[in-house]
Amino acid sequence: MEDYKELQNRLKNLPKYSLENEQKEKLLYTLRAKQNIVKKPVLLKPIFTIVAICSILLLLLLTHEDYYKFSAQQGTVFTLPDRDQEVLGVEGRIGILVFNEQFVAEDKRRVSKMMLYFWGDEHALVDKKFRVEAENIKREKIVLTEGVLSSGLYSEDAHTLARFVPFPSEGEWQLSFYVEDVLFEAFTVNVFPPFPKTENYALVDSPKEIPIGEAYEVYLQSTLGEKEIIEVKLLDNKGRVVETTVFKQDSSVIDGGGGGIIYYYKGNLTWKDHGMWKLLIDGEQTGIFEN
Amino acid sequence: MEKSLIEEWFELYEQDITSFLIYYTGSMEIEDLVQETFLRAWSKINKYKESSHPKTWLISIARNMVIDRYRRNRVWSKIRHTLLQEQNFSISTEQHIILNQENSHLYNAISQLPSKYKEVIILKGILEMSSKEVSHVMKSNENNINVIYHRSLKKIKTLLEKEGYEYGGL
Repeated sequence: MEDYKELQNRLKNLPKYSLENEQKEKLLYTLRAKQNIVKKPVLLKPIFTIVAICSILLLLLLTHEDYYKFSAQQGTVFTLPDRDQEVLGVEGRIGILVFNEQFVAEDKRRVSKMMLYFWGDEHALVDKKFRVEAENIKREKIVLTEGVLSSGLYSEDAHTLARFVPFPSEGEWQLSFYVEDVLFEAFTVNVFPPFPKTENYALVDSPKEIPIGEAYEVYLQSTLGEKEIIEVKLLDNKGRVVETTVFKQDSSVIDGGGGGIIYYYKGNLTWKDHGMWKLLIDGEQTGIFEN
Repeated sequence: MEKSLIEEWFELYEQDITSFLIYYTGSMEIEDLVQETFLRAWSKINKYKESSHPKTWLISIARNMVIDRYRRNRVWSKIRHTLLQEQNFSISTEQHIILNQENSHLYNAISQLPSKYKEVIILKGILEMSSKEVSHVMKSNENNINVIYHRSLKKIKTLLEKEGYEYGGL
């Protein structure tokens, strides 16, 4: 047993090994990192799940209105049967004479004097009350106009000269035409974004109506008329100037809405492609717009 | 809690784990194994029973891990004895520098032991664990460990004497 004790002592005295300090630090770091990585999902998983569910519910809630589908057909452009005039609506039922057959949000001009034509039973239309309602996909509803229908001017069975309330926003709107509170016809229209404007100047044409790749005669309107010429710059979506031109004062009119004199400036601009743009008009910048 | 416990254990028992792994595998390249041991311990911390000593538990993990690795390599069954008896305990140049000549003889003798004897010598003889602790690591009973231990000592003595080493002449 003595011998074994000696041997046991020698065994006990065999070297004990330890990692280098650098190895230890590295290993401890790895341990901590791994623990953190493993821990995170345990703690965050339920939170992520709740957040994800809430996000989906919120998204569904917010976009719920966007799923609203119009029942009416899309309005089409057709030529009146007895004269060379294009109207927007449903052929054989209703037609609206509007500039370029296109509505623009916030625009009063195009909706200030509009001819509405009705086709149907003359006796059920003439001298009857009518109402035009507009509703968009967000279920915003406005009454565009109302009044009494007159007899037809040409082949139509009834007509009226109406002034619409401007569309408050761009996008798809359904127009519903009621006669004596009964729905007569309905169709949808796509309303363009408001005209690009600065504090004192506004385009008269919608950029979406301006053809691509050619110098187009553009009109600006302003309540300022002191300057005969103004500088206009076209900027791309990165703010780089792609064209600089001069607009000249062309004419002036008295605003029927009581806003004093409106001055028109005319010049040429070329949009080489579709995209996002800005205009710098007499030092004033428009918001970004799409053509 | 778990994180600090593992780190605390690392500071307390790193040397035991490192020593065990070096003697058990016969290699000095055991840094990854040490790391793996503590990571496994952390992931299994819920299974840790406070009745057992953390050092015993950690060494069990290290031992099982080494065995698992050899098994996974599918060479375990073929080279088990060779690996543990010869190759694993062949002394590298690095170890020669550390071990003096006496220890080299002793080390070589240990390397010639059957694997189970060798394990008991490492755990009880070198790492100074009690028979009870060794029995836990090796999933055996204390008496059996004591028997193996004494047989191992006897075997080592015989081997040293065979090599001409005057054992009692220190």
